[in-house]
Amino acid sequence: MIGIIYTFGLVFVLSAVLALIFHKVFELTIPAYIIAGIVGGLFLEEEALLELLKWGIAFVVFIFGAKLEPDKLKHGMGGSILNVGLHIAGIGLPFFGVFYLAGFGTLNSIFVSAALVFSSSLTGTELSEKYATIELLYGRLAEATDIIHDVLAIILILLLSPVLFEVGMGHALSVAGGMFVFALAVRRYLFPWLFEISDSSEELMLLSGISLLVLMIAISEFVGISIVVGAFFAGIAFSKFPYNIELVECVESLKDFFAAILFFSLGALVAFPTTASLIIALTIITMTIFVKPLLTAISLMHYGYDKRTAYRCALTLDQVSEFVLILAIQAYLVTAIAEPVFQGIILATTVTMITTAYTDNYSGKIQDWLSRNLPLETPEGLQRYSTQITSELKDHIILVGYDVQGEKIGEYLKECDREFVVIDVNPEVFESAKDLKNRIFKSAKDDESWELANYKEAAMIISTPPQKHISEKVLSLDTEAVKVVRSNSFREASSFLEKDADYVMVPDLLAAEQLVDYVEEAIYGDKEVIERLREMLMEELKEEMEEFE
Amino acid sequence: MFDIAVTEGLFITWDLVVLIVTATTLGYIAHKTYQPNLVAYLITGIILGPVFLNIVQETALLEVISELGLALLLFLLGLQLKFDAIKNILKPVLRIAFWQTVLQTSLAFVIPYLLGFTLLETTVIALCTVFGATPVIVKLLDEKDEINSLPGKIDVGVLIVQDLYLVLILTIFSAPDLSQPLVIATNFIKVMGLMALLAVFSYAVSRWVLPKVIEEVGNNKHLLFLNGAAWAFLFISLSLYLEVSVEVGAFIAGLGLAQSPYSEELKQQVKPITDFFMMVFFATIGLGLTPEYLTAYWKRAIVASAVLMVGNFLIMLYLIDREKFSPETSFLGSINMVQVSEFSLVVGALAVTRGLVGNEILGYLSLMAVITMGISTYIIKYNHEIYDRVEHLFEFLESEEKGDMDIKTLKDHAIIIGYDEITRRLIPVLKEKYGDVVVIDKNPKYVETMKDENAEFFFGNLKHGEMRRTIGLERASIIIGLARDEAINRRILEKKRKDAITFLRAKNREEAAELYDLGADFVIIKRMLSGEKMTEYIEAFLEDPKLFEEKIEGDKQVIDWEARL
Repeated sequence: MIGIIYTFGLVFVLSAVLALIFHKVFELTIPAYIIAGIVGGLFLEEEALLELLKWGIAFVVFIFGAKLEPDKLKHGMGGSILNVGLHIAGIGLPFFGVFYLAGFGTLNSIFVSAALVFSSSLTGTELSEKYATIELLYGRLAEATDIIHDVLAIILILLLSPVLFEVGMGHALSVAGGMFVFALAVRRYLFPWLFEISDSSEELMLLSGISLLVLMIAISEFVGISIVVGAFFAGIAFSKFPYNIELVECVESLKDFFAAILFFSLGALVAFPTTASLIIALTIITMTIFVKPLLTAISLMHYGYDKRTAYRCALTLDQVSEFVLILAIQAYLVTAIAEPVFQGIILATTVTMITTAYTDNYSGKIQDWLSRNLPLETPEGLQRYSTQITSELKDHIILVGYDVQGEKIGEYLKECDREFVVIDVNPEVFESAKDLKNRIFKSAKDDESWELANYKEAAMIISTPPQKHISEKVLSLDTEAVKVVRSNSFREASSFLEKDADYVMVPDLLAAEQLVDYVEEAIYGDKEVIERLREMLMEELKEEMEEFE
Repeated sequence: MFDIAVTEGLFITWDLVVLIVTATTLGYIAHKTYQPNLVAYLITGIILGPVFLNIVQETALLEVISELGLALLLFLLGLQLKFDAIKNILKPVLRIAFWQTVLQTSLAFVIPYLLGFTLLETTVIALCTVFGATPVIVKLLDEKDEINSLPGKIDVGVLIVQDLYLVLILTIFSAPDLSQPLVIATNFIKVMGLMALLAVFSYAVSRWVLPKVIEEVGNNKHLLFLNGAAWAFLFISLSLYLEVSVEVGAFIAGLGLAQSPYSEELKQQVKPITDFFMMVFFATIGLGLTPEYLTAYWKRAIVASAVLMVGNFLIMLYLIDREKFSPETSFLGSINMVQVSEFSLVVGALAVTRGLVGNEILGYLSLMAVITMGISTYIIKYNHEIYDRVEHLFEFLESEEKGDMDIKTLKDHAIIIGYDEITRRLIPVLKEKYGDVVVIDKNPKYVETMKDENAEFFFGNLKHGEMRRTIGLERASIIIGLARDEAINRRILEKKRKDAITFLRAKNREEAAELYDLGADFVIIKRMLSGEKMTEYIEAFLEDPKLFEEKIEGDKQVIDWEARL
């Protein structure tokens, strides 16, 4: 028996080394902990960490609850619900049937379907791409879907409590209901008050959070429902902005500490795969990587979203959720899950977490390929936005990209009554571009878009997206028009200038110049100048907001 | 102690729930009465343990957590030892610290001896009560924004030297047989040798390997924490394997990281988990006490506390004054240091486990800790007020040749949050107007780049209150925050000086409007900025293409120049 200090040494050193490698290669770390556990498991007794991994569950779920913002569901609620519904109907239920008929029993079949249905916001937010584009439509859809998945997973865990912990369903539900009400009361009355009297002391907020967490968990254990439920409600009690900022920041290191132990110990429980566990794992992996994204894409297209959004969203939902791992480990602790199912789920989760890093990195290319090769389209009647050209285009300006910067230029062109046409494929901007006289909602890489825009007779082409291939496409056009493209790096910008660009916008440079102008005005100007500048900026912002709404 | 079977009883129990909830409640009361939290934790254990209610037992879980807590505490202690902080007052501080240790150890020795303790007990008590309580002093001074004042710096410097002394004492106590001086001596030499080896290893790795690792980690704080934990446990395991005290190993691990620019951020992350574990540690000490232990020497504890507080004050006053600081500095620097450290309990607990002294001594030490910390908190809180009242009594210290050296504190400076291509161009502009420019970014990759810039750079996250104080957020004249983090922007607006100019960056228009409502002077959206400049160029083009050519000429040169860099 290795002492606990050595155990921690093994857990953290192995995890850190592998996590560094995984971070470098895949930009995510959770699978690294699991693999560290598989390696470390060779030196540890199988059950050495079982008690400690429950701490991991507690903190991971707690933080999830504390970070939960129901507001995020506002955008794309309908699409996400349809999405989740189709996941359940399309793969969850059929495979429940298949496994049930194959003799796995109700409980094990439920575990497999859960692994097939649920994807996770925890892995998701670790992926750089998803994080960066959360402001984009597909990112928001994916996030909303993830949140619904996670909450459903918690509800499933609650509903399974009677089976797992031998307690009456009515009893379990009423206790959970009581805890929920208690959590809401704490959230509404107690924590705001504590936050105030503690003068937002980090240490006291941390202790208050942990107090509630351990209390809720002890109650859960006492009445025989899953600790996940207690931890989640404790998190909910703290999810109110802005109190949650300080707390999450503090508790996060505790979560990191125990989460590493959690995933490590899961890995340590992995045994050499048997045929049965391999078949289960392969089924889950295949369905998650290939079938689930298709279901996502189909449901979103039928909700009226364009192909691009649908595919990109689908590619961020192609992993098995950690909540499924948590569900499985809970079942494992009370020996309510068959060994091959347990092994299969851990294996499948680890593999899909790694593959999702890849599909995330190459989502642009995969989406292009899918668009070209699959006969899926957003049904005509459901499409929300359409291309139109209403005036004769000559000596006009072509504006590629209509995000904030493009819109700003568009505003100005409208003001001086100059003819222009917008080319953009990002559904994000359709809303703000839908009233333009001339708009082409097609890719700037298609020649068709340029023919429509009558590029040969344009006076100027301004391309605002930073993608290299778009800038290169613009530079390759055979026209007399003045070409302005954009690049985010000076080196690339310089090479564009050498090619055929008349000017390259480097946003950092432009923004820096403008900011220096403003700051100089603010620090050297008198009160009046500052006030004028402030009003001007506010006015500008207000105008934009009105137009946006 | 380390052969605990890990399979059983390590999950949340009612004992733990009662302990944590009580500690939290008492923590709030302590906060409202300006008491340090650790007094609250100690009292938690005393109330819940055999002294009063006797409803919480020392379980395996509590034992593991407090053991880990102690290791983490020492790790954190090492991590905080930044020699840079006291660089310019190093010499006087070293002299003060040396003599303070000698004189205070003697005083700490004489008091218990005169009070009638045995020689062994006296020795243990003396070694325990010689330190000042770093968390109490640092926390209170930090809250009062005096940590960077001259008395604050002197105190911190002395505390740093004391910490090194503490590690020596821990080493002595870790000897296998404490009854024979020869064994102690050989053990001491062995430990020192091993420590030197560990230290060299730690230095080498933190010098050549860690920077690369941390650069790889980038601004992924989870990974930074994970690596910090791995580093700490590596050393803890190593020292365990080499049979050196775990605490010493943890301390060296921390020290190895302390001088790197990443220590500040790592410290912020290790602190919460240490706080939590330490809470359990101090409560466990309280739990271990019985009414008999606690009351065995209560009268002596009161007398000793009184003598020690006055004695420590006079010793420090004499020593600081000897270095020719102003009377006010001498007074404040000494009156901050009149309590017994939390380490008295650490060392005391160790001495009990080693069978050197009985639990009554731990009870005695606990009482002293509660009394001296409790009183000194108010003294530190009202240190200036006290000085104003008694200033005339210390007139005899005044003389021509005494005076304070200038300590640089950031004031009326410019702060840039988030370093990039955009803010880089602001540095010279701000430098010219404000003199001091501080840049903070949560990405460590700029640490190297920033060495060439004309500004002071910090790596860290402003979500932590300590970091906000470090960069003097509340004293800055202008704050340019491009972090695009709503939480940080809100904190800036809450904490900034009223007349400070703020430029903040919002993620989107809704957030921008909110920031204006909260009192931001200027809110910028990067894409809007570049859009504005670009519109200016297009305006020129529409007027006359030649004008456009002229306008963009300068930019083209910058692009070419930057591309070649």
